[in-house]
Amino acid sequence: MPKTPRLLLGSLLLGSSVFAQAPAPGTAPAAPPATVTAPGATTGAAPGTAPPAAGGSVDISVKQRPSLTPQEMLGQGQDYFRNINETIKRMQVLQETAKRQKDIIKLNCVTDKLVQAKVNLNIGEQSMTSLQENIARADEGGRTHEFTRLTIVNQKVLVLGAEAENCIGEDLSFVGATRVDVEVDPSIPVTDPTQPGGPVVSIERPPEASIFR
Amino acid sequence: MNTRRLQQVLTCSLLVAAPRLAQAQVGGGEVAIGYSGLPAKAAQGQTTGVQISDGVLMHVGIGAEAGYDSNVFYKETDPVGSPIVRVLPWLELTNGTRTGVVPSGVYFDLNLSMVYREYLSNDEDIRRQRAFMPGATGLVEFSSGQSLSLSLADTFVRLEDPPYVENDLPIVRNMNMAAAQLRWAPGGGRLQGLLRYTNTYDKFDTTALNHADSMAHDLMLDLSWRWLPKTAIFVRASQGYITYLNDSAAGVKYDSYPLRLLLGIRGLVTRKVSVNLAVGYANAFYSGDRAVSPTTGGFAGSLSATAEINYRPSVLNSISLGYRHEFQNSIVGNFFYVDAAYLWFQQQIAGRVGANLSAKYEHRRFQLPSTMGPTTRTDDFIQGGAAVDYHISSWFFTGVGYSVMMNDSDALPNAANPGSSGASFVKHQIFARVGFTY
Repeated sequence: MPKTPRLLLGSLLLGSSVFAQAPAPGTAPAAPPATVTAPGATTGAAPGTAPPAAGGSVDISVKQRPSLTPQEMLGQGQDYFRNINETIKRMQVLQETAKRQKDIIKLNCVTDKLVQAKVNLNIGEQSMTSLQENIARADEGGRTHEFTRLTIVNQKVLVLGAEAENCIGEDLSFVGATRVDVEVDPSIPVTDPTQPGGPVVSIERPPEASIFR
Repeated sequence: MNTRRLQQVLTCSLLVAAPRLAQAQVGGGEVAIGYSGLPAKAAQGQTTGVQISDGVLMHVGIGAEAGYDSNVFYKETDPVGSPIVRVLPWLELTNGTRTGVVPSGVYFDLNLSMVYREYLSNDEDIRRQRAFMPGATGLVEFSSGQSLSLSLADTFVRLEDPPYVENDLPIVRNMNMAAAQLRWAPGGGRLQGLLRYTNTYDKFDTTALNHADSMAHDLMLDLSWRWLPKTAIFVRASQGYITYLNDSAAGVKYDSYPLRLLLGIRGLVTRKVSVNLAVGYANAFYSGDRAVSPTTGGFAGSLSATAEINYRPSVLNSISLGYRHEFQNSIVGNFFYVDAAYLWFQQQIAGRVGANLSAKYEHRRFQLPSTMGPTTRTDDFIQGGAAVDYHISSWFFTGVGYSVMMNDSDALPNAANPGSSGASFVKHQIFARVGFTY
């Protein structure tokens, strides 16, 4: 299969995330890392990145390298899996948090991201298997294709992890803690009429009893 | 019962003066029927008081009233009148704030007062009715405002009243009432349990009334459910024991074990209307042979009912109307059934003038031991009062007051005692008064 159709196929895997095309072998040296915002930017294999911090931004830049050896691709792929698994674990923690908070909205949000991440994990596992087969067959084109898929999956999972963090974290529209002001009608008595009366001191003048004792 | 309510109840007994019977509370509410007399306590929320130590306020005051009493000896015929002067100094120590806020933790309120009464008459029998009547109240509450609180209170009152016969000694009565109350209101306070023990010691210094010296014990359990923020349904059970202390009471006074079981509702029904409604069973369980010692019985005799409605059209005025049916232990005979209706009205004007008007009617049916002759006696008692005060400042006021008492009894005068005019009388008192409270 020609490389270009493979690249186009790879780009279709992006879904909602943006990603640049993998460069054709033998192209210019890698450009400095850049936040990918549109197709067509320089691309390259992204080094292993740690899972994003809670509520932090995600660096989905892809570093361009002239070529990766098969061993480097395998190593990088394993790094990708390490990142993906750690991200999924983090998302599972967020899911438990939402369950403890009994917040159905947050729970649905995190669960949705987690499901997508697990789907991408399955795709990544298939790509890793195919990568190893292509390396064994010395299929450079296939190797590059599968490695590209792995890279895309990794970055998608990172994005999903960031979105899951946003599900749990404070909304951008948070305006402060809720405050309740109570206004009591001044005509309502301030004393508590539900309390029982006290003991009555009945010190009355004795009735006249000169004929009765 | 919250602290303030208990405090006001106990202190009402010190809103003094000779017609102190005017001060007896009706229906367990906060209204006092009849002439209220001089105040013996600082008004709440007036930011008065002297800070004598950290957290302790001292309030002081003195009041004086001068007027005329139309019937000094409560006589039915040939009443004897006289000018009268009363002076009431008082002292209060409390750790409540000047604004009336009760602190959490330990709260106390101590009050001492003394009423001096002088009749300004040339008649020696009348001038002899000069009297000094001390009074004291004390209240201590632990864990005030918390889910479990303990309150201890004591009130002592001494009453000296002119006798029914002019040349007799005055009627002197000493009463001490002590109460211990445990209040439990867990969580948000919707459910409340209140257990109260009350001990009342009643002693007459008048020889002719020594047989009426008594000790009363009462244990009350009140359970309430505040189903609305200021409305509660309650059940109450109280068991008492009244015993007479002197041998002279033998065959004349009988011990009793009064039991009352009530179910009712109290609190707001609208923003401006509150009610206190209760109905239940009551029985006095007097000791002694039934042929001699009567006790409560029958449907009406075993019924206890209270109905009171309060309307506050605005923060400046309030109206109360009430009715009660029950029995009361009596110095005359064993007890009397009472049907009472009362009305109370209060108005504030322009933040300076306070006026109140009250009236009460009681139909009393005494049940007497058969060895004393007639076994029943009926009194119709009417009491009314009015007062208007002008508050020159938060600590100084002046005003006028009026009191009327009427009793119409079917009891006949004692033929063996020519000085006795019977149990019926009409008595008017009018006063001008001035007071300082700080």
